[in-house]
Amino acid sequence: MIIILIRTIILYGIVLFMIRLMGKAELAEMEPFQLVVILMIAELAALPMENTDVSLMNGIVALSALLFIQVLISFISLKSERARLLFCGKPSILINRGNIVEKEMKKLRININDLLEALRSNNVSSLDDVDYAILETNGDLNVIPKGGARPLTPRDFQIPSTIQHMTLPVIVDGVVYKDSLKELNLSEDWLKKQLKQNSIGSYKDILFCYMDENDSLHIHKKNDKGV
Amino acid sequence: MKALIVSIIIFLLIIFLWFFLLNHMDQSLHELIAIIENNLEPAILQNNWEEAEEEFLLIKEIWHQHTSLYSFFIDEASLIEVSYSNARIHSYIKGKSSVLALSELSFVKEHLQALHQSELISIENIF
Repeated sequence: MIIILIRTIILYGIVLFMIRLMGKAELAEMEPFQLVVILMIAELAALPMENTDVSLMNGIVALSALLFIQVLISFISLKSERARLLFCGKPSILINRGNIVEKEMKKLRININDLLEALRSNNVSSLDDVDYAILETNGDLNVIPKGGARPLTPRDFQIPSTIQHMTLPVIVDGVVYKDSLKELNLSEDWLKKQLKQNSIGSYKDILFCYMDENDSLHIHKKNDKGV
Repeated sequence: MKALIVSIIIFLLIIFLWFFLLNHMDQSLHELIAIIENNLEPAILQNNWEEAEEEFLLIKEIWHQHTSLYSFFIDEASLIEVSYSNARIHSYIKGKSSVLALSELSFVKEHLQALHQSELISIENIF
């Protein structure tokens, strides 16, 4: 019983370490080879975890081999277009210049209803509004609307919209993010002064405080609607 | 916070159950091994089959009492294996075959020790 507990803790640490080594791409939409690795990791970790007859070392060796294969394939795919094509495939154009590409749809075994469903999930209600629809190698459908159907942007009105910096958290659950203050060229003294102006005596009273892209400080107190 | 407290309680409960199981196994399995070594094996060696059967039935009863508890924590296959061996030992005692009975008893002793060993924290068990 305790052995299973210890093995589970060890394997959890190993799998977490491996997923971190594999990179953030593993956590987003996955390419085919990444999906295979994740499925195999789950299976390989579960076996020695629940069955004490299976050697933990064998499990670790198998997981390490998967890590090596995955990192190697990622590296090769990064360097070689041919390898990327082999391991990831290539995106499929389902709608080209407003026309449905039937041949590609048949090849991918996607029917019109599937396509319409995917378009709706991309906030497109009519096929006529679509210029291009591309099924990416990770299974995502990206839609490029026709000029007349795309949403208006500040550029259309020639409104300048340069962002000084991205929104940064300054205090989260009572803890000051000093890196954010440094990024914003602000000091803790300035922050304390701002909090004092809002009748807040301690960082611990703050649930979330952030600086938006327009240099406005927003403070949300604990059990409070915000300042 | 609630989830953290509940998970800590579950974790501590597992540790407590393990301590309880380990302690119980240490006592009960070694009691069985002691009966085998001190009573059953000498009775078989002396061809005292009546006493051997009595001792064996006592071992069988103790084993059945413990298996109901062990079945919650230990693999059913390991427990069944001992039960099958017990059945074989009973036949050998009835058939008055000391060689077969003693060899099967050696297997049972080894298996009972392995059951206890498998619950101990050791590098061999973990890896």
